[in-house]
Order: sequence, then C-alpha cells, then structure tokens
Amino acid sequence: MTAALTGRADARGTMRPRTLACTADGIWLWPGTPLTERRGAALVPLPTPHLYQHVATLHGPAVHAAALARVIERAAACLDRGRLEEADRVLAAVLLPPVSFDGAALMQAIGRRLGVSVPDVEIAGWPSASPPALFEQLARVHDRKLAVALTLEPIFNPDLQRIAPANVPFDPLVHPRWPAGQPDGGQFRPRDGDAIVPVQWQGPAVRVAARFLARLWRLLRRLPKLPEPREPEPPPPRSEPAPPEPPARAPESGEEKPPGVGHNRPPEDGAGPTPDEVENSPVPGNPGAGHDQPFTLPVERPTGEGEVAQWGQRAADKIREALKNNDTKRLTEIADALAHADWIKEQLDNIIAAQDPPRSLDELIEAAQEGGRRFGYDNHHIIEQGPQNGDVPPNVIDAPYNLARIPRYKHWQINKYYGQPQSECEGLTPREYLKGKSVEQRYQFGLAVLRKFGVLK
Amino acid sequence: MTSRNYSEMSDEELAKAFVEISVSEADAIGLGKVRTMRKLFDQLRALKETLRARGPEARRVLVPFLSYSPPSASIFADQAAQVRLNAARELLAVVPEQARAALEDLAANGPSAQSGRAGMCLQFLEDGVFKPT
Repeated sequence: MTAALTGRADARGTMRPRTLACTADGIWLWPGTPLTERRGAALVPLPTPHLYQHVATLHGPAVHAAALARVIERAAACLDRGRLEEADRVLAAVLLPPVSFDGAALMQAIGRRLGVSVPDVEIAGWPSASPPALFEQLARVHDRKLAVALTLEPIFNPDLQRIAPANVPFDPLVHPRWPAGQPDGGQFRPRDGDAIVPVQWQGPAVRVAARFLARLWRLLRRLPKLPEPREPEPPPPRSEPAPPEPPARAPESGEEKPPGVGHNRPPEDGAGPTPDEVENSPVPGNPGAGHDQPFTLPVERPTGEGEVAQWGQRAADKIREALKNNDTKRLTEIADALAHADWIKEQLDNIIAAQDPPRSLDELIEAAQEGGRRFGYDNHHIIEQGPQNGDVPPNVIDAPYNLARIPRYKHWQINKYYGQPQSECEGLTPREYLKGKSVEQRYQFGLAVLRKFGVLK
Repeated sequence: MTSRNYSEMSDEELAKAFVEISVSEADAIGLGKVRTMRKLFDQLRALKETLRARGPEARRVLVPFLSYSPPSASIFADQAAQVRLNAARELLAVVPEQARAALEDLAANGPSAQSGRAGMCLQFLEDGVFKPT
C-alpha cells in the first residue's frame, strides 16, 4: 500500500506525477479539467458535488468529497495571495485514493486521443466489465481541453520539466503551445486574451442546478456493488439495468449535427429522407418514453452526436417538468438515469443551463458582452447572421443589442425553428418569411422567438 | 410514404400516417435534421391537402389528436406533443376553441421544441398574419 492509500504525502512532494495541479490561473484535474472558477479577482472552487464528480471519474467513488473541497479551497486561497508554490504543496498533500482501474483506462484513452503523457500514478482496485470502446468514447468529451492539456502536461508529469530551464516553474498560461496535429503542434504560441473562465455555476440556473446536482451527487456517491466473497468473477458491471433499446431512430450516415455556437445560419439544401426512412421512423415501443414511465437512458452511448444532444434535451425537458410540478421523486429518478449513463455527462452543462428561467433583454445582452465562455450557453444573434440577412448592415448584426447569451439547447431549438417550414408562415421557413421585412421587423421577430422559446421575459 | 398514395388511403389510414409523420418530425427536430424536417413538412402538407379535398368533415378525423396521449411507454413526450401541435394547427378553422386550447397548453407546458412552436403559432394568430382555413 502506498502513500496515496495511506494518506501520507509522497516523498517527492510536488515533483511526483499526479492528477491534481495548479497554475497561477487555477486548479486543474488531469488532463485539463478546471476545478476553480474566477469571480472577479478571486478564485473560487467549483461546488463540492461538481468537484467530487470530476475527481471521482479518475479516482473512483471513495474520494472524500468534503476533504477534497477543503484542500481545493485552501489551495485557491493560496493562489489568490499569489503563493503558487504553497498552493502546489497543499495540493500535493491531498488525500486521494489511487486512480481506479476504470479511471486509468479512461486516462489512457484520453492520453492517446489528445497525445499527452499520462501521469505515472498509482492504480488500485479491479477492472470493471466496461468494454474498452466505452473509454474511447468517453475520452472524446475531453477533446475541447486539448490546448489546456498540452500546456499542463509538464505539470502533471514533472519529469517532462527537465527539458525546461532549471528552477523555472513552467507556467502554461505564460507559455502556451499550439496543440498537436497543427503545423506548429507542440511549439510555443503567443498568449491570447481568451483565458478559460469556467463559470458553469453562475446565472439564474444556480438554484435549480444546485438542487438537481445535490441529488445527482448522492447517487454518484453510491459505492459500486462489490463482488460476493466467493464469487469467482469479481468485477461488477458498471451499469446495472438492462439496456433499453436505442432511441427510436438511428442516425443516418452524414447526419446533421445540432447547430453549434455562433452559427445562426441556414442549412444547406439537399437530399431528404427516403420513403423507407419515414416508414421506419419512430414507432411505439421506446423505453424511456412517456410521462408516467420511469425515465431511462441507454447504457451505451448512442452512435450519433445528434442523438446524444437529443437525449440531453429530453432529459432537460423532463427535469423542467419535474421542477415545475415539484416532483422530487421524478427528479431523483432522472438524476439516477443520468448517473448511470456516463456518456450523458458531457451534456450536463447544457441540461442545467436549459433550466434557466426567462431573463430580461438587458440581462441577456449584458451576459453576451461579458466575454469568456459559459459552459451550456451560446451567444445568439437576434437578427441572424448569414446570407438571409445579407442586406442588414454588419454593424447592426454585430451590435451589442443584437447579441444575447442564451442556454445552448434553447439556441439550438431556435435555430432549428428558423430552418423548418411552418404552416403559419405559409409553408415558408421563418428565415424565408423574414426576407424583405424591415430590420426592425426582423429584430422584433427575433425577440418574439426568444420569448416563445422561454428565453426572454 | 409519398403523397402519391395518400389519395388511395381511407381517412383513418391518413390519420395514422399523420401520426407517423409527426413523430418522425419530432425526431428530426430533436436530431437537428433540417433537410428531413423540410421533407416531412411537404409530406404532411400533401396529406392535409388530401384530407381537405374530401370535404370539411374529413379533417375531424384529426380531432382526437388534440389530446394525443398514447400509452406512455410507447412514445416520447416530444413526439406526442408534435402530433398535438400539428393537429392543432390544422384544426384551427374546424374546432377553433379546442385547437387554440391545445396550442396554449403546449406553449405553457410542452417540451421546449413544441412549446416554442406553439407559442409562435399563437403569436402569428394574434398578429393576424396567420388566418387558418
């Protein structure tokens, strides 16, 4: 048994490979998951349930959430005072269980995918029945962290620092590198002003999210079933209920993805479904369906990106309905379903942001002007970008009053609405319907859409 | 299913096809398949025109769909809501009060995609832009 298990700090202290590290800008979990957020000048730890959720992904459910939160808080306080080395020492002494076998498998998959070194940390436990392909799928969630992961790599793997000048702490935010796969991959790149600002927990969704995640947290903290003493096959399966059928409809190849950030553009025209597609489209018999049936999610990740987002939006709708009805039983059931589907976790920010109540236009506009990222939110152009509004002056499209920060799922819904023919638009899409209308009419239409989709008061 | 064989179908068969297309439409919306949404809209329009061509009473076959709520294990909430939404839009001139009530209920309580669409439909009605026939 080693230091990690007994709680004794490793003799190498901050120079040992590890999964927690800090820079002047925050505290990070390998490969680059932020555990703090910046509020003004202060660094604030993420809420304890979220800290636990992140760290337990690698270290297993035995992570002591309260102790972890205390250490992160102490380290963040050190960073606030500019004491980077002291913060590093605090983190190095954190009592974490060894990385679980599943955590290690996930780390290997992430390392391969991002091209970063995996810290040589202690591993303990026993393998689960999860297929290797599952870890490859889960690793995709970390793709967006590539640049951060590359810059933090020498901190999580101190041996790599030997190539740096002696006694000079490596600061990835001062010396960022271009990510692998680019022509200059691995080379230092200029600093940019778009620092990562993980602020998932700001905004009106906080109260709802806190309630929701408090339930999710308790479910996630349930210890996995251990093997019976005399059972020859020890590893228990990670997910328990019989896998429901996949969603009603499998995605087609070349499937369109839900619209992303800042697009607000009309889709390209092209071939639609064949008659067979329509004939074979969703039919009764879908598990997880309906309002008085238990809410379930597929155990395995659905094969298409569009499907993952679709499940996420269904979950968001169910949560909103349960919150509206103050149905705690339903909420617990949904949290349980989410806790057992690892693949949906990449959607949690979107699901929580979708619970935002309508806000005033000033709030939406001000939020868009704040800059930085908000996980679960997008900036939405009230008069859309794109050729359909090519006759609108660019200074109007880009004006602050035309840009609102809204929950990502709502953004996607609105964009899909704009691209779908509507009976009330004489069979035209709203984009087509608005052509030739005045700028003021288009803006008012955009506001009406925001109101009706529950974004604007 | 194509518009070509709608004319050969009974009202009840058309009603069944109406549900199938609406359910597919809900999925196309959920999956962000914009081209599919357009195709399904065209199919639904052809179906509705077939019903309309059979006289004012034929459309009443859609009235039960204003409160469409099949056995819950068989369908997702957004799929059922899309059936209600499409039926309500088509029945505004036939059973205006019932259809409007369905739209208002969807706008207030429906899944986000259908809620927004129902709300916008009501907005077009209030503005006098949409005149159901």
